[in-house]
Amino acid sequence: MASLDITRSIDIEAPITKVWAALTEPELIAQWFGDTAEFDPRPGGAGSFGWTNHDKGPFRVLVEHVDEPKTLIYRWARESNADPVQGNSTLVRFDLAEIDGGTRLTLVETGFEELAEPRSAHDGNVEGWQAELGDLVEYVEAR
Amino acid sequence: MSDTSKDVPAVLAVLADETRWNILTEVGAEDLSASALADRLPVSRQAIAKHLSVLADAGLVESVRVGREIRYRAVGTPLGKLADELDAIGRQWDRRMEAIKRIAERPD
Repeated sequence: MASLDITRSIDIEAPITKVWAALTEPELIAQWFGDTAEFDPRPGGAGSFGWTNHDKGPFRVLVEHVDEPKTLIYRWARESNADPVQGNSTLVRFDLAEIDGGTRLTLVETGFEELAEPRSAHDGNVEGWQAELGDLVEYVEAR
Repeated sequence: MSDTSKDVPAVLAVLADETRWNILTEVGAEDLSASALADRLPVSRQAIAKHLSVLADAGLVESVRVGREIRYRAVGTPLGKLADELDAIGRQWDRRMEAIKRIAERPD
């Protein structure tokens, strides 16, 4: 069943502070997310991730929530050179938890349905609609 | 960043309308004419026709002629494609998470 949320989790054999650094320090971000990165890990902080082989400008991010070293949430514009606002962006959330021998990192990217039509994000139907999409995909494909 | 972000909103935008959603659900179950849809849904036949044309442009429905009637049916491909695109975005995250792991596990 398809879902419009993307969730990933990985166990890392490193202390939580090192994982936090990889997520928040621009020179480290540039090693896993695009090729160039600017990032200010504070609420309201702006950033941008660029791709050198991409013909478009960088994709901007806006930090929404920071709870060092446990939670980081930012909005990521899906179009280049645009400030991320609801309707043109998705929300990227990282949660870090200390586990035996290291850190568990969990990623959730949400808001794909908001990309569709900003209005639909406000009418309260998004969640139900999201669950239905998965059903419909299955339903139609099974025909 | 790949092109995956481009088509997802296009299909979603078409689906984000409740009436279009209901139409697609109905023609997902059986082939129906615009009149039959208008009987089932609280929407005028004119509005149904407009929504059907949007759905057809997005490749989500196709029309079939049955006698002198035109009926519509859902096409699964764009929805499957949407699911595939979300999968692709997920796989990008798999690669990023692996890279984060390598970076964090690097000795100082």
